Amino acid sequence: MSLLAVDGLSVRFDTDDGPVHAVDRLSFTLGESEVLGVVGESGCGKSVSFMSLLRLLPETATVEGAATFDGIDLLHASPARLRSIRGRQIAFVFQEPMTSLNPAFKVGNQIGEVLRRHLGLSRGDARRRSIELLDLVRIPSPERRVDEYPHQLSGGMRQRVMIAMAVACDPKILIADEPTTALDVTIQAGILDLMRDIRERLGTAIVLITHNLGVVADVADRVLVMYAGRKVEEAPVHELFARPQHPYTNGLLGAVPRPGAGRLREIPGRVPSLAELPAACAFAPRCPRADQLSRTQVPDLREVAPQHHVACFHPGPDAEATA
Amino acid sequence: MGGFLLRKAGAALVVVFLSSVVVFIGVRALPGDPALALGAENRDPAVLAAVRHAYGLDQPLPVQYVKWASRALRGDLGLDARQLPVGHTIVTRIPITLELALLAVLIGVAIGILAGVVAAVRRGRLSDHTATTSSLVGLSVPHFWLGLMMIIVFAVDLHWLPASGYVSFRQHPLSNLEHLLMPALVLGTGLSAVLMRQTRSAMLNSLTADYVRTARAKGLSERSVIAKHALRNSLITVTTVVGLQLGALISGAVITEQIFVIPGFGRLTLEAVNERDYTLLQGVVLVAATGYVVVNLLVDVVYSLLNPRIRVSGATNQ
Amino acid sequence: MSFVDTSVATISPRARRRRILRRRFLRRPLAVVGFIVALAFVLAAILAPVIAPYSAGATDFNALLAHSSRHHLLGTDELGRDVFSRILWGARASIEAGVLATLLAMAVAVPIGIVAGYYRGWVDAVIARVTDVLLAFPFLIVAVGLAAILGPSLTNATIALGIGAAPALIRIARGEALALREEDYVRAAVANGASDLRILARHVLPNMLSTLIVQATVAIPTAIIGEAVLSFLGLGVQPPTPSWGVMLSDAQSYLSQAPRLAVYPGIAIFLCSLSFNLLGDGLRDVLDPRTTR
Repeated sequence: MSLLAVDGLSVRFDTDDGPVHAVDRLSFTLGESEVLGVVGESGCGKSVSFMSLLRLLPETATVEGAATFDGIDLLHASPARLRSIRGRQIAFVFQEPMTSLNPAFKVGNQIGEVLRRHLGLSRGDARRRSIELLDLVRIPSPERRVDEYPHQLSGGMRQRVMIAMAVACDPKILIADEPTTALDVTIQAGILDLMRDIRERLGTAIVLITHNLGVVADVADRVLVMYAGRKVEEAPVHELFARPQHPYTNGLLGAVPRPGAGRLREIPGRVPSLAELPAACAFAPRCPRADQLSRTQVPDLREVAPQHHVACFHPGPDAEATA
Repeated sequence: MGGFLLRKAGAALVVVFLSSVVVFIGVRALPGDPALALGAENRDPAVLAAVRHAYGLDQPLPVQYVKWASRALRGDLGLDARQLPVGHTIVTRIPITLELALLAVLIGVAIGILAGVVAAVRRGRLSDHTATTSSLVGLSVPHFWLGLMMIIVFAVDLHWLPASGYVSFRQHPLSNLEHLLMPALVLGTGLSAVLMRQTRSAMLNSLTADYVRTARAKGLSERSVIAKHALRNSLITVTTVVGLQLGALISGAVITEQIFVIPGFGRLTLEAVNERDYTLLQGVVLVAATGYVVVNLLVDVVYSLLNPRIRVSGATNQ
Repeated sequence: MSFVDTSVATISPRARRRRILRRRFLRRPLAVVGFIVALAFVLAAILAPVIAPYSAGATDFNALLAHSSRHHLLGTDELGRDVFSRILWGARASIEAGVLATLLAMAVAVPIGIVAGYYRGWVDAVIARVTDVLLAFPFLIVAVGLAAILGPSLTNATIALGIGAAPALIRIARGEALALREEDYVRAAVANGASDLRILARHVLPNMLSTLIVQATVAIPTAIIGEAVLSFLGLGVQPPTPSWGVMLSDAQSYLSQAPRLAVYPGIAIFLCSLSFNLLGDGLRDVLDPRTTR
């Protein structure tokens, strides 16, 4: 029984220039203590999908479909119910640690907030627990840091604070939206280590949203590749890297720098605007394998190997293997 | 925080000093020979020379300035045309204006910030439009005219409030408030209009900020999100605006006291100009400028308390 | 380090932008109303000699403090002068003072502000101190002082208003210049060896224009009200020249007998102010899509 089951999730934004379809019929499941990597370029709808589950999107967004968490219908839950799930059962870590923490309050205060709100801890207990959490996320001198303000911490430390805030109430799912993108490469490794640690120690299921395949290879159990609001491939991580099927996935792997692999291949063209839902394969305009079929029909998800699904009319590895 | 405040205090001192120079020169630039006025219009050159010497008017300007400034620092601002000590007159009149200003600020801040928050939270809805339009009206209304209108309605027609005059708080607290209510409302309206717009704008920025999204994602109640997270950051911006508005408040007090015949500091300024009492005018302007600088310094203090980036120095490694 | 790509330095095509702006403006009814009413006031001021039924000082001792009638649209004042005509004539003084004072303030403040913001350093520090000193004197006291030195007149009042409005505009111009100096196209121009004057004239100033226009539009009502205040206190326009402030001052003595004498000029000031404020707000929304409405 999966922890989170999403079926046919669609998100549409009503903007001044017309509707924008950010997510188109996305379906996936997440099991307990599983790490799911969600990969795709900026604007492919990966962040929006997960924010929609907790209704964190602005009012211009319309969400359709079904999403069940632990037996609860997320999309139709009451605001009060939703608020009891946010931060407590499902927690978010956002991309920009610089701006995601409130500059006016001490770090300990912000972590303590979640503890006081959801677990009813007293101020004293919340402060003690905050220090423990800061230690958990490996911030040195936590007793000192707990009374500091966000601007006194480095980017990497701020991100750790965000993670501490997120795991404070021992949530079942931790959704990390590009947790390392705004950080230096050297810091990134530390954050990823931390995520692995959290999964091991606390048994939290993690959704790792990123555009960086390297990050995913490190930590994820399964990978979901999105393009233009649709899922185009999904597979266990080793399977995906060994036998990528979708041309986009192949493109992404080809674009990962590797010593000795020669010139980086880029995927020509640009991400399509999401204003109209094309009645065709969304990737066709940029796809080397595109033909009449992919330009006129939307490919369904098909299982090409155990637990490996692709939405493509011409699945298979690229001629230039990237092994 | 100490560094920030020290710099601001230093700047304030420079401004006060420069202002005093400007006041000094300004008054000297006024037409008319002060020796004539001081010597009771006696045009005898010998007498004029004696008067000039007695008052130190024959000394070079910088020397005169130093003498004047050093006396001013000790609180001696000279004698006005009625031979009354300027310092004393000012000191008796200031508390009245201060009370008026305080009431006006209370009204302005309470209404302005509240309306601004409501307008931002209920953006696009009726309460937003009402508040925004009211603030626009509040900005466009000439406040002295508003005062006149209020006198017509509340004093002349309805006889609810006195049209003019002042009663001190110690003498009769209720009457004191009755006399100050309309003037304070008049002054406060302008302030509330500006504050409402600034608060709304700052809140709209805060409400779309990432940290508010984080607060919501943590499952905090909407009230907590608005009142604690969004408002706190908006107040930082609003504080700077309040500081800037205080100058307008002083100007407003001058006219308001004129219309409502309140014997305050503002009215004193007009009296000084009308009576061509230059010593008095000099003292008044100096005190006004210094007061403004001091109050702004206080605003800076509040600002530094609210803004942790100023209160505590930045990151050690970034 | 950021690499400045000069081939994509942004200078938007003007005609297309103007069309978009016009469309956006027309979609805002309040702003359009503001524009029309403000225009009406300006036209009334310019055309006063033509459209006013009576001259400003024409008295009629047979109709003192009369109510509105066929002859006198808004009645007469204590000297039998037609109120409606005086309001039209008063528009001249008030709007002239408002517009000229704002232009004066802009002419002084913008160059100073740009220099302070663009060059920074000690120039900026000095200008900041001077601006602070100017701000330390409540505008009214400055105006009053000037009136005392130079004698009360409309011209002096206008100068005083201009000087009063300048410090705030200096701050704004400085802020804009400060921000624009970091823009890519400015850096590109510097890298290409353009002279300071050229950069300021071609890149900095045009991009500040929208902010400046908005600020000017919003400064005008402040100046108009300021003129009214000064005239009300006897420090601006001298009788018998009418101005809305003078009319209000005269009306004070007749508050119980003829309160309407205070109402009309006040409403004129209010509507004139409001229209410019609406216009300014509309312009601000249109010219800066980033502002949260």
